[in-house]
Amino acid sequence: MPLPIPMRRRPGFSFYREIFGARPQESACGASPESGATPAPAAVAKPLGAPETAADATGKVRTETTLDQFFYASPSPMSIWDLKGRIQRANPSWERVLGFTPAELEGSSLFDFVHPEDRAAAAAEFEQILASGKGSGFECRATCKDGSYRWLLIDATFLKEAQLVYATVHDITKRKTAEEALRHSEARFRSAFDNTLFGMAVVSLDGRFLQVNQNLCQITGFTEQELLQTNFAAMTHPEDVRESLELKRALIEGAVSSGNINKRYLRKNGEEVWACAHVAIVRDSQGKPLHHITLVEDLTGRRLAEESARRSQEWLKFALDAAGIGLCCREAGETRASEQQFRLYGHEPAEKWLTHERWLQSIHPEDRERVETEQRLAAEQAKAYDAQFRVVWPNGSVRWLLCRGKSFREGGTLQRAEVTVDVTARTRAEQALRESQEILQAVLNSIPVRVFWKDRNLTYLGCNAPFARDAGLEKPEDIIGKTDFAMVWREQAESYRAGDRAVIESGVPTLAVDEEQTTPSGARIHLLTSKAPLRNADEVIVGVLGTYFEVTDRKRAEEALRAREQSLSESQLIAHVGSWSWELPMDANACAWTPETYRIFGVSQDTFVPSIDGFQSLIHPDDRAAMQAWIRACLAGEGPPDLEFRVPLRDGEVRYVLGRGQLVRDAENRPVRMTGIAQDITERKRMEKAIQRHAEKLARSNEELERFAYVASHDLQEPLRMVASFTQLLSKKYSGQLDETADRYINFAVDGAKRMQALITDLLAYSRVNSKELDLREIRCETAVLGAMENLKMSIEESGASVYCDPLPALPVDQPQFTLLFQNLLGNAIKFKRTGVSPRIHISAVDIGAQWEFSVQDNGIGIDLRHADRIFQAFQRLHSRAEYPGTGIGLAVCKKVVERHGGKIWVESEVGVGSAFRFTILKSGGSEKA
Amino acid sequence: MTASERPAEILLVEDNPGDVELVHEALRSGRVANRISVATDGEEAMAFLNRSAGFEAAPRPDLILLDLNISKKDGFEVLKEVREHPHVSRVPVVILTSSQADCDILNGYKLRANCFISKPVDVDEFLKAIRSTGEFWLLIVKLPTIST
Repeated sequence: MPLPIPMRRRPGFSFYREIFGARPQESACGASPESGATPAPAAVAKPLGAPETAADATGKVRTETTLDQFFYASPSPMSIWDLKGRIQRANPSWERVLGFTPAELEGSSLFDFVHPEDRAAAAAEFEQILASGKGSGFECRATCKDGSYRWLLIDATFLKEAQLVYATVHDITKRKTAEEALRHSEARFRSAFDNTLFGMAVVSLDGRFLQVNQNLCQITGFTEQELLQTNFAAMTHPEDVRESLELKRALIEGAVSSGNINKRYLRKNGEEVWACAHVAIVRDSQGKPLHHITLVEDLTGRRLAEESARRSQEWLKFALDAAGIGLCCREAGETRASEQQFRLYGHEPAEKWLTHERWLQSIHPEDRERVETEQRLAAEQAKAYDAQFRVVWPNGSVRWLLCRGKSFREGGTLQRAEVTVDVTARTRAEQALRESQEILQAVLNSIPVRVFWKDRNLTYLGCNAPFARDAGLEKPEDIIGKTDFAMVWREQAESYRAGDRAVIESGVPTLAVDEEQTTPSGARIHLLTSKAPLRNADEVIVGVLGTYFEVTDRKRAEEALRAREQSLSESQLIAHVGSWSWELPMDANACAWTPETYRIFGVSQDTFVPSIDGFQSLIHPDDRAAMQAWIRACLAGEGPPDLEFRVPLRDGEVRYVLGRGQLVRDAENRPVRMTGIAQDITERKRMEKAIQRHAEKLARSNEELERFAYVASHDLQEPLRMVASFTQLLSKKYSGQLDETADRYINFAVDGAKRMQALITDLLAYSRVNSKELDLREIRCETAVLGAMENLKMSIEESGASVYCDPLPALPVDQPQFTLLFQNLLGNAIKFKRTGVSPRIHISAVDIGAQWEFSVQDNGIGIDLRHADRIFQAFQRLHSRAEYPGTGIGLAVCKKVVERHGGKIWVESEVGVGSAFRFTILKSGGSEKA
Repeated sequence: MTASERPAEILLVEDNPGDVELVHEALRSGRVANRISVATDGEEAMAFLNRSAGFEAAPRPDLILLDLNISKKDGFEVLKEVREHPHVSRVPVVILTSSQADCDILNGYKLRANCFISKPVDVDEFLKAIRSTGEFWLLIVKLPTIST
């Protein structure tokens, strides 16, 4: 395509051609191969035909002349124009060039086919041709049929006579294009030449500077003018001259086409400057050397640059190494990596680790596929990638690497550059952080404490799982955004919120506050809540943090405990028993008294502090010694458990106290404390005394009574004996001498006296049973039975009674009395026999634990049980004296004997069948009850 | 004169006249001739035995029937003094009393009474007992001779 460069005349001196050896004249031909054959310069069409032919050209059609043939056959486009520039005739070659047929061209203005930009110049040329009569070739662009443009070289002649212009045209598009290209190259070269950082010179074969650029001047310190006067050898360091010349020769000879040499130039001021001279030889088209082109690279700068680059590189490396960053570039199968890169993978820097396979191997098996895929995708899409993966070092340790890189295609090859850094620490830290967060969350969720936090508006920001459960939510996140009014405990909402507000406003935490809460099921539970202000990083209060745990059980336990303590206190109060506990050693005065203890000692809980001395001072002076001895004995782990002492009160009352103590030992059997009770026994003591007095009185009374009975009966005996005796004597001496009445009177008197004697005898016996001291000896009870039977021998014989006795135990009894007991019972059994029935008596005994139960069974007349109690009373008789003799004292005596032996006596009977008298005797000691 | 030729001298220390009568009755028709002296209290008894004021001509008794329940000096004191008496220490003393108390019985024997008799309630028994006692101590028992 023709380039939009303003048309200009061919320069007389073409810089480019000078260098590359193309002569102006040659280029016209050489540059347009389609014009091909004719080397003729400025091939101007000069028709040899008659002017008529030209004049007839407008209207007359083609006459076949040799010239016409030439016209039509000419390979170069030819055309005839009129004065106005209208195309009269055109040959077919135009079609080849522009694509228009002659028919299309003829009749049109030639300017129609000229590029708009060139029209003015073309018109001017045309005028010039008309004026001068000769066409010097001018160049312009012409429109093709397809719309493109081609450069044409027009040689035109004006034939005045014909008033026509004859033109021959050459398609110089290629040449133009080439020229343009050349010009560009030229321009570029020039630009390069002028602007290159290098010094550049065109050097003749003999070493003279033909052309130099400014850089070379700078490098060498000479001006352009000075340089053009001299040759390079003059400026080269003597030591490097030979080498330079050798190179030159080599170039000229053609051994090489270019080469470079590091050499020193000598500056104008004599300084040496290291440079690298790149020399190329330029040959002409025949290969003849024309001149050299030398690029002089100031190595100083390069050196400095190199140095700086090296230092930069070093800094970079240092920086990267310091940062632990590895660099790696992969290009066309070749991989380069920084030392650090190797180290990141745990290797020493070595070529062998750079292969793709080895790299994959280093990656942790679990991450391998992922990483490879990521990289591959990135490469395919020419995108950057960012991968974090684990690598396993040869020594087995696992490290995390972060790799950032980019794959890209350049020049058809896949290249990759990446930066790798070890993020193990960071990853581990992240993991640790995650774990600790998880642990924290787990802790938050598993502690029995509920945790929640709200913002300044008292809206919930979050909570832990137990809290969520309490609130009846599925998960903690559900609480976000809610307020207490929306919760199941809306009853307590206001109270909670008031607490929250107080904490937020005061900035002071509240701890362990008792609160109630309604549960989802509607029950009430007790909480212990603590709240603290929630602050952000700038210490500004942004909300409130609260924790609480349920203390319902504890509260209940506390209440139960309080109730029990209350109960204990009350019991102690009622029982007048106080308890005390004294930690050892006692003089440390670490002791605890219950309220009742204080009361018992007549001191107040508020004013009295229990101490050894204080305690002693409360006790009656006379009892203090005993108390001390008792304490000592207790501490020694021995001694009496009880001690009675007196506590004189301030109002004069003396209180009696019973102290009971016990030594408490620890696991190693060391005494740690004394515990015990103090009982107010004043009442008891008073009662005891009263009872004692009463008992004494009773005993005295009894004694007196007994003595009275004894004395009475004893003293009654005497006069009775007199009466009985003398009335009997009277009867004996004077019977028959007195009348019947007298006899009768005497009989009544005697009888009365005798009866009285019997009564008194029995009474005496009864009172003796009562008063005589029991002489308890262990005897076989059969002995007493036998003794009784011996005394009743006569009665037994007379009545024909049979006595059966089971084996009886051995018991401690008063033998005479026990014998009397059996004697009376057996005597009764015999006495109260059924008429005509021999008495059969069965004696047996049964062990009933602490006592023996004896039975004396008979087959006598029996007793109406209505009288069962009466019969045991003294002198009670159920039958008349006429029916059965006896004073009625027998069973009273039995009762007395049995009672003195600590037992009871009763009767079971059936009238007409018999009676069974049963009594119990204590096994041990048979002592009568007090 | 031997003891068997003269009537036996019996000292009855008894304050109950009824019992005195009964003793007389009992011994009146016994096999032993006897003469009964009665002292009604302990002092009188000792005066008799000591042949002191009013009793200078008192005979030495062959048998003393002693009731415990006497005044001024009770029976045990008399008994004690009798046993320590230079002249009558060997005279048999029969304690005759209504008491059945063991301690009296024990004391009596301890003080060296010869025997202890509880006065029977029945009059016949009483007479029999006295008669037997007299016969026993005056006829059957051999006593050491006493110097007058």
